[in-house]
Amino acid sequence: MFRLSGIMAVMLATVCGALLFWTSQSVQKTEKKVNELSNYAQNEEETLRVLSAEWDYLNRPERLEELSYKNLNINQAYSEKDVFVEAVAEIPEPFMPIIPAIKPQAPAAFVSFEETKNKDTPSRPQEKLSHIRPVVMPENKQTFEDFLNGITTAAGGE
Amino acid sequence: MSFSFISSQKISGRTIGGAQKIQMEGVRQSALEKAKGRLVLMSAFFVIAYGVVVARSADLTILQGALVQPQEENIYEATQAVPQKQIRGDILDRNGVLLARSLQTASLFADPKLIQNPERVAKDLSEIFPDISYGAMLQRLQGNKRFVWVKRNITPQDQNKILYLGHPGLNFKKEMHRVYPQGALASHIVGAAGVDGQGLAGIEGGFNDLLSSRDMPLHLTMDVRLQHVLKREIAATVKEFNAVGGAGVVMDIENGEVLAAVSLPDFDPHDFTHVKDNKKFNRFSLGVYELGSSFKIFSTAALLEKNNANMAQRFDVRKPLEVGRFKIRDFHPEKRILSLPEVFIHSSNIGSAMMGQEVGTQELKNFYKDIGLLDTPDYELPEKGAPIIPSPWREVNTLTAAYGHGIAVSPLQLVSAAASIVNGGILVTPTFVRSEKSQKESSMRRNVRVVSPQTSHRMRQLLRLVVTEGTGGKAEVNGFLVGGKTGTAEKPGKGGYNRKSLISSFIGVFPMDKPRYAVFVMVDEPKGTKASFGYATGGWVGAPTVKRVIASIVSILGIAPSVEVDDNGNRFEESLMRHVKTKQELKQERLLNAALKQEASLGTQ
Repeated sequence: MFRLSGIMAVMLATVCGALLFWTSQSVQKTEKKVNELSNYAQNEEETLRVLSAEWDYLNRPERLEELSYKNLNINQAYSEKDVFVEAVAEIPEPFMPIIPAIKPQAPAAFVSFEETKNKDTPSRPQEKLSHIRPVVMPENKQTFEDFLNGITTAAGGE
Repeated sequence: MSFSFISSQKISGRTIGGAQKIQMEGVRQSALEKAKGRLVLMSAFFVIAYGVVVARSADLTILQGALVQPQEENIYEATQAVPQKQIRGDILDRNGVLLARSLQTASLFADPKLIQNPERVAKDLSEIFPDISYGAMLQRLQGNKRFVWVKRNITPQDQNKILYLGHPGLNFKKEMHRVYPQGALASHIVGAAGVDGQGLAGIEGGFNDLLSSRDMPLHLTMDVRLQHVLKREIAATVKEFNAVGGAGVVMDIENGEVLAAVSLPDFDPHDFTHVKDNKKFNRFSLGVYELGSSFKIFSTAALLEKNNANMAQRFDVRKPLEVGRFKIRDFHPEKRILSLPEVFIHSSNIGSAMMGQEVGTQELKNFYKDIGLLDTPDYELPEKGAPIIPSPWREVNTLTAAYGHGIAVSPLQLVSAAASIVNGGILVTPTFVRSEKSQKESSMRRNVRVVSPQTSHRMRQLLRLVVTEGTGGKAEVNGFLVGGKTGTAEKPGKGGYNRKSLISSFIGVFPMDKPRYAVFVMVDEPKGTKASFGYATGGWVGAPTVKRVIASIVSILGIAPSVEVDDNGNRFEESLMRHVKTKQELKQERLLNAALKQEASLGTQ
């Protein structure tokens, strides 16, 4: 009664119809999600704009000047006594960095056997960094603050 | 179907319940069965399709509806994205500090038709907005319109209060409101925008189309830190000398970038429409003034450039200079013959008039035109003051124009002209906006030379001498080689000049060995004080203000102090010192003359 081709055709039509319906629904769902995210992003952008405007408002020079005078006793940056030239000599030397300028070399014990065996590998220059002391990791369990204090002292700061 | 066709088919029949059911056989039977099958198939298809629709509806409404929890509901749920409106561009200073931005605010409107109790609503609203009276509010709510503004750009706190009231007929519309985080600090540069976001003055007005059409920020050359220092010091001076107002400019003399520009009194840009006209008036770019002795920079430069004058040239300023019915006098007569540097540092009107006479009317006019003093300047602000020049320009006008009277320019014009002379002799025009276009234009203008490098160097030395030996001593900042020129001019009034109304100014340039920045301060109608011994001249009013400004901004600009003498122990202006009698030498000379006079009188006796 029913030819195989007819049945196949009907099944194919049904599958295509279902697929189309599913695709359409997925697209609508995705579009809705995109709109939600777009609106969310717009609102967040507006919030950021408000916050950055508020930041610049709070950092007005006159306000900072008032606060620094009130809380830190820092007055205007000029003096009737004109001590600029004398003050130049009192400017301290720049603080030396605790991070060395070149990558520190690994101790000899950690150099692999292959590296020592490979004669083609050029030897790393042994530079003396006498003004910078190596950073020593604490052996015992210390607080982070103690650690910072320790490396600051090692670098020569206060 | 013909009867003959039917008769050719084998038709059999049987009786069912008294009726005869005809059964078809052969071709007819197969056709009917085929049709029946197709109908069944079609029905099944539609049943399945409707079944899918029912299932999906049930899924969306019952299953998914039950699963969605109230707190998970997305407040941004929308079938359509809210189209992003074009936002007016930001205005930033040279370091990215925000000067102007448009932010979203709520504006309250009412639909009087939906308000059932206008008296109650008007009472509640007038409590929230005290600036709107109950009567005015009630009148709006009782109207026949469907839309009336109650208040625009309200704060979020007020919006919450209104929402809490819960009155129907009140609704909000989102609008963009222009906000100026720095307040009145740079009001005359930035300007202001109206309620509808249209620029009304300053950069907002001058760049209205650009700011409206794009949301990219506009960077200015101004530095808010320098602007604050300049405003602080000018405000202090205006208060100290009980002046009407003041103005000031800080400029980078190499490229004409305006780092700070102040006009006092100023205004709050958030309330521009209610500001009085005198506060809106831009004194540094729109106002033109006879700035007095500051013009001697240009007449002296003209003499050096056009006539190749010698520093040893002498000018007899012992008597007033008479031209027709006019007499030109000095404010502080030296009563001796002065050298060219001495004319400049002692600010002799007679000597400068003689310089102008020597240059000649046409040459002086050409020189002033070359440095931009005779034409309306071209910069980004819409507030541009056209200079007032003598018309017709007679010989007497040449003499007065040489010492800054009879010709009025804006402070910005004066600063840019002075910058063009001391920066090596290259013309600069002021600019308020940092952009590729303005930098390109500025680099093109760098090819226009107005004075030779030698004249520029001489002028730097002369300006430095004014501070070390002349009228500008109060502008000295130890270690920074400040040079400059004082200016004091009487304001024109009814029937001539008013001696009690002065425009006192000082233009300072530093550091003088390699000048980079110019600072100009002008005070309108200062009154002498006890501390200034009753004087309100440029040397007493403008010079100390410029000193304080320079002393504050050197640390911001990163300028290190330098020694005042070179390796040979010579000062920067050393080569001119042989033409100048110092204060000490003059004092000794006066004492010697007095002694000789006394001796002579004793001898005659």
